[in-house]
Amino acid sequence: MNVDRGERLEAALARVVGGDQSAFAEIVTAHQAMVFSIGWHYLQDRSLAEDIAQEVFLELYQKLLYQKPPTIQSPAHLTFWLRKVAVHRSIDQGRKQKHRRESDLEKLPEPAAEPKRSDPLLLDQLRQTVRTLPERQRMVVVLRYEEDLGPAEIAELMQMPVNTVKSTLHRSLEELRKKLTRRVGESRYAFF
Amino acid sequence: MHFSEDDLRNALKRQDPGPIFTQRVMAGIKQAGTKAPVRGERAGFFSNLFSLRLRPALAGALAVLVLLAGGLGYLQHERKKQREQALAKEAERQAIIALRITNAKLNRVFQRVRESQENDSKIRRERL
Repeated sequence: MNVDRGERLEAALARVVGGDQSAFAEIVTAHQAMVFSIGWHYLQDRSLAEDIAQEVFLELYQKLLYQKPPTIQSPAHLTFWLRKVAVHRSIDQGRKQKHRRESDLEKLPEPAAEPKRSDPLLLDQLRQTVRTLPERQRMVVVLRYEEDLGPAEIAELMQMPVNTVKSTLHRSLEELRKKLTRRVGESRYAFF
Repeated sequence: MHFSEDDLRNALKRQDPGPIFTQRVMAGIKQAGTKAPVRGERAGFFSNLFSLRLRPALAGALAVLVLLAGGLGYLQHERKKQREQALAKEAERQAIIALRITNAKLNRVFQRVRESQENDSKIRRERL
């Protein structure tokens, strides 16, 4: 976060506490990509991710306005809080939708051949395969590669030991590789 | 299939939901106004009562209440049992007394019958 942006957000935070709604719009604009993307990559459902993001911002607004003395006073704390609430809301929503995951996997389009690196098809396959990971692995992958967080930060957000985060991450990558290979292998076999 | 960590980063790149989303959030805030306080941080006695901080205390108080109620119930049950046992003993004692009285009266009746029979036979013998 650069200094200018940090200062602007700090000023916006102070104005929101004073009841300025336009300052809150500034905060939303600055963080909406992060909050929305956590839900979106975790759930792969745009409208659900938007709903979750909206709820998170509504909760933030009420927290800033009603909590006396305010606990969120710095932009860094604000980012941490938003990320944390978005993570837990997404996991909760994912649990409600658990039964849908298997059928979603079957509906995924199969690639005709092994895609090249950074091929949009590969990226799409990766996104879809991430969606099939178990909930904890999925969120760890999202936080590591979308939010670029280190194991210690992920551990703090998800309230789990750092070593567990590391092993979960390792296992998730292995599983992603296996699943992708299986899917591509199956499509090749079907093709010939 | 091989993919790099960069591929994963590209696949999971942040996506902005766009300015319409911001408008939607702000409209939601206007609609909610100031009437709906945030979850777990509502002001007032009852909301504080159910807040996360007070929840263990509330659970403890409830447990104590349940234990007290259970103890009182048990005591009442024991008292009722003792009262019923005392009543049963009293009834038994009275029944025994009644049986003794009946027994004594029957003995007297039998004695009188026997005496009158003996008198009858004595009179008959004298007549003969």
